Amino acid sequence: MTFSLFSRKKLEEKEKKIALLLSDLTSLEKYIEDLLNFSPLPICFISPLGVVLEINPAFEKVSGFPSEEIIGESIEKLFDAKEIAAISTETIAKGTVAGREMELRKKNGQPLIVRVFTRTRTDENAQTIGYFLGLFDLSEIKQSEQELKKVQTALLSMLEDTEEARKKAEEEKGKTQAIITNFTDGLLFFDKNCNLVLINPKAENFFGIGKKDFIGQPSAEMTNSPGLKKLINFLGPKMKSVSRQEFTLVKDVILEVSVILMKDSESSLGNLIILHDVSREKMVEKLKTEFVSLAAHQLRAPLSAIKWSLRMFLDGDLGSVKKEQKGIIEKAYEANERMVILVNDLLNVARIEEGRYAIETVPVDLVKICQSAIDFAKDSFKKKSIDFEFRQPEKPIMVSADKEKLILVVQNLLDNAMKYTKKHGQVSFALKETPKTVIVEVKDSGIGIAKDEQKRVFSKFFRTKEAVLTEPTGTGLGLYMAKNIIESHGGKIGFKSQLGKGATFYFSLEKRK
Amino acid sequence: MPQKILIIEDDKFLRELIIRKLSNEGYQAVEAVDGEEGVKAAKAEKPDLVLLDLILPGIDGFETLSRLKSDQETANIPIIILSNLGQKEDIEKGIKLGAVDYLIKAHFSPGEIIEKIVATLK
Repeated sequence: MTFSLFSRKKLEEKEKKIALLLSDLTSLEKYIEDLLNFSPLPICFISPLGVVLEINPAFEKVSGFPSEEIIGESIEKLFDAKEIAAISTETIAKGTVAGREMELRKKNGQPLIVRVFTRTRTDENAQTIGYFLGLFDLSEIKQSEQELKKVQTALLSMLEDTEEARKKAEEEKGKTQAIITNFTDGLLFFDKNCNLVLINPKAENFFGIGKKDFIGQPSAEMTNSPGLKKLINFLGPKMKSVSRQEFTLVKDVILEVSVILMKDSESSLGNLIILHDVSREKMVEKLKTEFVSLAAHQLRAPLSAIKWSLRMFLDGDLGSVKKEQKGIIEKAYEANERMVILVNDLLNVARIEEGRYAIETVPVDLVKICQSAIDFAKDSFKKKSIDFEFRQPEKPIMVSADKEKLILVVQNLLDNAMKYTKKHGQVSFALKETPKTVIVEVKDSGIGIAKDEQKRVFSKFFRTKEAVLTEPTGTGLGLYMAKNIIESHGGKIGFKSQLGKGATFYFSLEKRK
Repeated sequence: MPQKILIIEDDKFLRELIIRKLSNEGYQAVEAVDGEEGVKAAKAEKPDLVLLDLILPGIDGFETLSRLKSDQETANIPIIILSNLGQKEDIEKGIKLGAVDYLIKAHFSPGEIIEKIVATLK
């Protein structure tokens, strides 16, 4: 009986062991099941012949097939037969395939790009009993990849456009640079802080400097070049905007200076200075004026001889003169007188042009000047029975002017009014004041000026057709001279007129404070 | 006694015309063809008035004028400038140097010159 007790104990022990093992096994099975259920990665187990033996919930989800519909079916239900066969073969041969891209066919027919991993399982005899297949859903990644590709293409396109734009800009810059370098006028550019940022060869030439020495310098410090310094002083610290002002760099080098303020929509970018060489033009002007002056003086000598002899003839100083002779000699005398006047006007004009920038101004009472010119002209108006009216201001009006020259202007306006107004006409003379200026107005009821001739009224030697008919002996220089004089005083001169309805000539000057 | 007028003028024709007019009007005319001669003649003849041209050979009119004015013997003789130069500067210079008047030949007939002489000698 001891044997059977021993056997029973052994049996009990064995049964206990078996129970424990079974429990472990169950635990293990449960563990594996939990693991497979948890895995977010789709995993399936496939037989060597390609039958799906096991799948996890993630696999169900990704394929769209519930486990009943796929377990026992061929893996070809999900993958292309050829492709999966290749994977299968490789897996079995190498034991594993890592990261092969394949297309999974979902239950609803939609293709899904996945990355496939496989590993075989072997038994105790190293026989392959099947392989695990895990996959990675690449759809999102693929989508991102697509999007990135799109972005990349777009960026490349933008880069191309930018590159093209840059090339164009370079080209334009090159063209602009070529223009600036070869420009026949001098160019300087000061930025908004008054630093010199650009100077072209022509400008370098004018000042005898090299751009390297001066680029970047603020205008206030350009003392090394006397010419440049002179220009900066001429323009003032704020670089006032001027247009074609004459500037004498050195003797015989005269430049027309223009300053252009450059700005974009909001702020100032700086100032562009253009220097145009007019030295030659000025020289020609000077020579012309000197010639006229000289010629006029030379002409006066023979004109004096003719004047004196004809006058003496007419006055009987050379013996008696017959009536018939007198008439013709008178005509000759008058013709000569006209020449004397013309030569005088030419000389005046030449002097005006010569002294354009050198009029001497002193404080003068404009009312007095007008009064003396009027006194001189009163008789001529009376002779023609022209009704002359002068509204004399009560107080003096002071201006800075060259008295001699200004009187010529007033005399000229009065003279014209007298010449071109018929007998019994009206002429009025008035001075008007605004806070800063004084305006002299001469209004007549005379022949007027036709619209198509108005533009040329102030031109040298120009006389309107009506004027020539009315008064054959004018020179056409009076208004030209008047304009020159008024403008060198910084004033303005003009007129309003209609043919046949008279004219109002006026000029304005700044009052002296 | 007729009044004596000295004319200093290098142009022969103009000189002859003015002398003729002066004679017709009852003046005694003395002539000189340049500045040097003019100064000599003024000292020798002591005219009542001098008509002086500015463009002269040798010493010019302004120089002649200063010499006449700085020499005691001739300083008090009134001098009228007769010239075809007419710039403001020339006129001012002439008056400054002592001329009593400045007439532009092309603008004044001999008769008008006589009138000026009469007015000056009053």
